[in-house]
Amino acid sequence: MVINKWKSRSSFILFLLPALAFYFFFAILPLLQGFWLSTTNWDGTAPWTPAQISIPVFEKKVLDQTPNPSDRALLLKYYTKNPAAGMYQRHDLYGLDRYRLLMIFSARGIVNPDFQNIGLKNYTDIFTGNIDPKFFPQNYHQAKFQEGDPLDNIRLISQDEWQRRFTNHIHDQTELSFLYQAYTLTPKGYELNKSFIPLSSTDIQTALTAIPGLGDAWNDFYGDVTDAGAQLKTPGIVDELIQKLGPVKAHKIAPSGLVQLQSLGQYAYKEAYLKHLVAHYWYVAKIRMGVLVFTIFFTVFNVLFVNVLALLLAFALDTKIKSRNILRSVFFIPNVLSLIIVAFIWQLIFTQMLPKLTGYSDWIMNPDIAPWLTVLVATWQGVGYYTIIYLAGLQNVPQELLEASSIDGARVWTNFRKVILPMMFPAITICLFLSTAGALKTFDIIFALYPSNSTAVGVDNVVINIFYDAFRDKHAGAATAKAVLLMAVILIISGIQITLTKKKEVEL
Amino acid sequence: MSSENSALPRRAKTVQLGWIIFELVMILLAMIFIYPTIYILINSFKGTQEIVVNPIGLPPHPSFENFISVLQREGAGGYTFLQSLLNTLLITVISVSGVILISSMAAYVLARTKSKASWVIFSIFAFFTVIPFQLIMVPLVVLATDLQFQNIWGLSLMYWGLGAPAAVFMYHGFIKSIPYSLEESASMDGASHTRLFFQIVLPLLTPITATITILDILWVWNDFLLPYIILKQGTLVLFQFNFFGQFTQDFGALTASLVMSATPIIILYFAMQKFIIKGISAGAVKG
Amino acid sequence: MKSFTKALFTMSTVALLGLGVAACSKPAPKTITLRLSLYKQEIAKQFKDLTDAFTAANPGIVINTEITPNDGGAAQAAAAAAGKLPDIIQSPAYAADFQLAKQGYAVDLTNLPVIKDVNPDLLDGVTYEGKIIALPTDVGTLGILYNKAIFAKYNLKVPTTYLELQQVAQTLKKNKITPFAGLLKENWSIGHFMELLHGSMLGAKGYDGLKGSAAIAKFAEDMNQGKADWGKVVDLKAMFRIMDWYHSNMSKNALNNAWNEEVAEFASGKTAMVVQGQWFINPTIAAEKAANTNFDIGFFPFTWSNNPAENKFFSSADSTFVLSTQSSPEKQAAAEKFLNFLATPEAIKIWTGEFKLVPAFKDADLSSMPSAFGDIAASESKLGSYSWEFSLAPDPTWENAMKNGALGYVLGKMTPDQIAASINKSWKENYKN
Repeated sequence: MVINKWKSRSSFILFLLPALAFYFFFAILPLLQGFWLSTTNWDGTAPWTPAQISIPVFEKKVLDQTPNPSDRALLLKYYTKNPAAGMYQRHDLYGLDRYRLLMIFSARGIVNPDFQNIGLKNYTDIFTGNIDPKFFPQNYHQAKFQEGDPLDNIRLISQDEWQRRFTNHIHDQTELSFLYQAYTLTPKGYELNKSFIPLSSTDIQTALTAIPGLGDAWNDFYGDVTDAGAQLKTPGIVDELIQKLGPVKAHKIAPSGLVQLQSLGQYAYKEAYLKHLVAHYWYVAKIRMGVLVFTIFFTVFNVLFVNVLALLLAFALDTKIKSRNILRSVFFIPNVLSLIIVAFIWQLIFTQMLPKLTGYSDWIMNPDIAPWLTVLVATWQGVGYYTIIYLAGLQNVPQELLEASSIDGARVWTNFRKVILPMMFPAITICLFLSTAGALKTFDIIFALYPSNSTAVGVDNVVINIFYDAFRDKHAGAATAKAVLLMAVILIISGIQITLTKKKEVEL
Repeated sequence: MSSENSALPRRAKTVQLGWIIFELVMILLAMIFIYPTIYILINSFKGTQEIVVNPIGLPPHPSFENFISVLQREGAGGYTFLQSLLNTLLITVISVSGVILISSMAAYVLARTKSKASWVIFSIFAFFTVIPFQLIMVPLVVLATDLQFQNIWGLSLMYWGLGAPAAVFMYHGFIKSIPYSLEESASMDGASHTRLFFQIVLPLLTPITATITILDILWVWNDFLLPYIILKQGTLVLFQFNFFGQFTQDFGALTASLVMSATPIIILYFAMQKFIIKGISAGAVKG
Repeated sequence: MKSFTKALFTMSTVALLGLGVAACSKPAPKTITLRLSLYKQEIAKQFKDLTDAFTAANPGIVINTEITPNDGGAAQAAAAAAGKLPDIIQSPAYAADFQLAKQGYAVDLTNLPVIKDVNPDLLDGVTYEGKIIALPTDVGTLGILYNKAIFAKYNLKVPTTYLELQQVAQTLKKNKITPFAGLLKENWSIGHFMELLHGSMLGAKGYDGLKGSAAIAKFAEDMNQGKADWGKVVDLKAMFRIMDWYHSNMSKNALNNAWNEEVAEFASGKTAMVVQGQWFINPTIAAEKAANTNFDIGFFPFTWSNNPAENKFFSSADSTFVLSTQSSPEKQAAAEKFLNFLATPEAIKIWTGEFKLVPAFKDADLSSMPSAFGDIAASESKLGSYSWEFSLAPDPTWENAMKNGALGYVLGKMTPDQIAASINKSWKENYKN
């Protein structure tokens, strides 16, 4: 089946060369260069050799110090003297010459600080956690109410929330009693007393401007009272602030105005105090997954859902139903569509269709649901492909085995476990391998589903993070280092998968 | 009611009814599953305002104006839809034919030569599956500018290099499963290697060639990241971003663009269905 | 005889060849072709009119326009590193231009005749180390666009203070009209707003003894050295209270809105105002035609302060043209002719009439543009403007720390202190010097 010697060595090389050459140039060479770049601090844009260099520096430091005539020719080929600007300007540079010039300049000691070899610093940075904190999981408080939100948002607080947020957490008696002053317990929950703060903040301010004699001082007064309330100062602060008012000292405000001032001040103070309290305690403690954990999350659930669904579909389709081939085709259609198109389709579904259908509009930008949405879309896109593989695997289970075991009286589940599953093992192996590698490297779907806002929502996975690191945050060197580590991880996981399945196959 | 009068025994009838219900359920599931694409299709016949007002319903005044507007639209880089379509077609044809040619040749010599060198070189090809694209992303951009490859030809050549490993891998496995007898007799008849390969072996490789061709067509046609960083615009996939960017205006054209871009590949799919499915299944069974 | 024929034949062949070579090497009529890259895709089609007009006025110089996509940073970076920059680069003012200048790619334009015609307020966005390294071509302005019909219907006056703005919003809500259209599906609009607040408050409060745009510029300088704290130079609590107010008065659908949806929300009359830039005006007019609403649009600065004099438009030189030092001196001279051409009435007419952009030149004729543009000129001649603080930040800081910080805040995922910390860190790290 195999020959030991080619009649002519040249044929071997000739046949092999094209593929090897292209592979080398466009995969291996960039790979090696990637390793090299990961040891630099290149930001992706800085020129490797100066685009402009002043005439004296160029001539003295570079030209004169370069003895080699071909090097000098090279320098002069790319740098033209522009006396008007006092500079030598470099133009159109590509190919190997770029590297030659780089070597000449670094030999002369002229390096761009944004393109220096920093050894393994990128790697140590990653391992010591000295990179973007968004990479790792973090606790955060999702604010349910911010200090500038309208009072209307907290007119009604359910008993549940009250218990969870306030009763369990507030220990300061002053704060608690303030809250109980503001709210009354009704069958609907805790309702804000209308008389507590009878005016809207806008109306309070409007009323302040209407106090004769106060003039422009109302603005600072309102600001000070609000700040005092937000700092949870005692109620007496309102009178203090009134006393400090210039127009009061100058008797420009009538007693009736003072009364107004006091009540308005109290309202503003109470509003700020209340809002600060609520904002401070009304949050949901959450964990932001971060890039690393999200990648794991996505991989695990995508692989799980895709394989389980595909398996189920394969079983369903491997029956006598007549439309089986058509159904198989239908389920495969999403897989032939471009991932970008798939993501754009689902973007429209999430932003237009679902809100109209369900009345609930916060789907795609909801940080809690968003990770699941990405898993959903990726699963939808991939399930058809694996269904086909599982179907093929199922069709390899000999009928006799199935019939034999059911004659035995074996139940469906045992049948499944002991007979079908082991025979499907190659198919399961392939699917697990492919789906895991694919999930780890998923880029297009998430990128198109969340163009430019994936970071804010929290659905950056490692490959998207690398992409943004290189092209948005301008850390080409560091980003490539991350990619090297990713490669190592994929190697390890693939290795584990292969060894495990090889072992299992042997057992079978 | 006695069952002796009916054509089938009672139990079988229930079972048959069960199967019919099951089939209907599966059909329903498939329709729900494919609904998102139908949603886009329906909306592409609505005007922009109509979509905003009622995204779910049927078009009140179905029209082709969105499609016409997409055809007329000059996107980033001055590329129209048809130009993007043509570019993508060109890139795909050049890339895939190149990959097939060079990979089959390389895999042939690797599979038929039993030597250390052959094993090493094959492993180097197989190694590619663990390389994440992001690792070679930045160097590829640098390389592309160095070689001035930021055009269709350059991109296609890059696909030759990136598609060769997987194709070599698949060809290698397939060739190993072909008995050597045909080649042996032909080479004893004095055939040169080239004749041997192109006239005898290549036809035998048709099934796997078909599979690789289809898979690579799907890959290159739909690829996003490489064209994005090398060309920035000009392929059909990149054309979509004209409608999802910061300052886009025409909502209806957005859905029409998605439909029009998906159509060629869907047509290809339905035409080559049998091949695709056979190819994927065969790959799976071989393991 | 044979050798003579041979010699004759050889000589005549040589002579003929020589003539042929001479003829072929006769210089063709000299046309200089310049490459120009645009990032403003929305004017791409009409830009040809401008280049054609220029070639008509300056025969022998042809300009080929290429479009760079939104993420042009990567494309330009690759081209620059390879030495293949276009001859004329359209580049956003401030950081992008300064970056080009710092890396040595920008030609010094200080003595170019056309610079004298530029509105002097806009020059700080193109001045690097004392030299003018780009030509500002148009102005970007952020503020509140409003539906004049709705305002008239409810007798609303254009607000000049924060209280008046709140009153307007309150009245609108009482009448079941959403005050602001919103765009929260992407991060740039809310990023603009956060920076608008920060920059305006900083300019009003002053920094290091300076006020207005000078304060913003000094602040940016200090941020470059890591000497300033974004969160401490303004009253951060008050600033985010205004953010909260704005968010709570935004349409409930804002999270699902991208550009198209926001235009639809405003143009349909469902919302009365929208915080956007002047680039929003013409698409709205177009959408109004489709929706048959046809109302006039007005423009006023976002009135965050209760002191009317402090409420200025947030304006800056938006796009500029940089000439590449990588081009030959001949091409640079030709490119300079193009820049000088831009200040001619002919070019300005194309710029306002076709591109619908506000030119950066003094006393430009805006009469062909909708009245909302005139509102910009009116307010700025009285009050001036604050420059775009975010333009002075390094690109990664604006793209990531600021934009994603603002979006993260409205999603409830980041606190003001965290945003400030990430901006401080990113600004210092990414400032290249």
